[in-house]
Amino acid sequence: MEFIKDYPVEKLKVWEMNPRKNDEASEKLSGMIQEYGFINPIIIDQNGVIRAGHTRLKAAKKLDKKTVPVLIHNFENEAQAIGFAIADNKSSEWAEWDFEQLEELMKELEGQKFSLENTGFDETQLDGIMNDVDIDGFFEETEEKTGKKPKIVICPNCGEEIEI
Amino acid sequence: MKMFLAGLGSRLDVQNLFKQRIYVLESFYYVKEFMIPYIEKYWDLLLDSGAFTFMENVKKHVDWDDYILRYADFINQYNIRHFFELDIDVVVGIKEVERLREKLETLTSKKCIPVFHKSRGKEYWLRMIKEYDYVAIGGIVTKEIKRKEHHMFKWFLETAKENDCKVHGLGYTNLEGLKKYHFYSVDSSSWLYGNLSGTIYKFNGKTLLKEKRQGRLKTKESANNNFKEWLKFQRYADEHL
Repeated sequence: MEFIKDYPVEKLKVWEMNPRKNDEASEKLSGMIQEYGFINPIIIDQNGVIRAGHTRLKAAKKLDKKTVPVLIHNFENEAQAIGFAIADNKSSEWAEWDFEQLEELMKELEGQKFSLENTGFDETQLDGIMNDVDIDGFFEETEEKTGKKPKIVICPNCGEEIEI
Repeated sequence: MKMFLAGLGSRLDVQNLFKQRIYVLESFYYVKEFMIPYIEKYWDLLLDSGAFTFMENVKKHVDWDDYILRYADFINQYNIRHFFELDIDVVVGIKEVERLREKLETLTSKKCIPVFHKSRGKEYWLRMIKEYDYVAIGGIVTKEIKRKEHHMFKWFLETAKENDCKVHGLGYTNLEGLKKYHFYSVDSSSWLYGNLSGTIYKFNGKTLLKEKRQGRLKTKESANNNFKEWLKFQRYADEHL
């Protein structure tokens, strides 16, 4: 296995049969690369064909990168290369989140003023992970809506507060 | 977690798949004659009153007492164990829902599954989970509980657990969320909507993956596929979620 830090993007060959749809993912990944740099190398075979990292390549192109890090691996044959390419994608589905541990880590990052969206989780997902349950606040909103508490609106014409 | 599949009545063309043990949520309003043998022999049924749909369809004053009589008759005739109360808080108000619930429970001599709405308030929830051993949370599909408020389920599920009360998440089918919020049961008709939009579901051993196929599968084929895949997920969820 050989590691090349600055491999020319133009020399990389896309594996035409890649069974992954990655347009949306590459968009998100380009943001991650901007934040962290291109850390995870693309894996290519002895002929320069990408076997893992098509999304990374698309993201690199979006960022107009001329070189990327690669790992070159000599596969025994085409079947082994294909098998690896599929298994590499599939294996990412096996692990699961430990949400309590994740919440702890996110809170630590938040404490360091780190932008949590750079972890790849969107706002709604972060809400679910991070928010302490303010159950009284949750019900208070309903009480306002159902009229248990008067609702105040501001007249768009005169600016006066009106109780409804 | 029991993942009840809903909307089976609308896909007669795949009813060859219905003759097996399945968790099914069906609405009393939609129960059809052909379903009776499945209900009696195969399905583990969760029965919804269908009151809201009924009201929308008749478009006139509804005699809810008459509706309750017919609903109770059906429950008694087919010995349905789990059935929801009339989920019509927004139509008749909570007091009337409570009166109808009491009547339903008297007529069936069984406790129903009350359907909690955010508007009922915190104390109501705490009382419900003490009085019932199986309750439901409604207003998820209608976004009465907003997506960004879903983390509140933690509190609902924890308080219910402290009272040995099971919770059904009505229409809650967020596949990621199901791993996080351990409802006793949920229901979904997503396999049906997949058919409409040409989405093919594939169970990967842990979850369902969606794939869009334009015009490559006939509706019956996609219904057949999606039902089978959701059923695999139902079996997986039953054991692992």
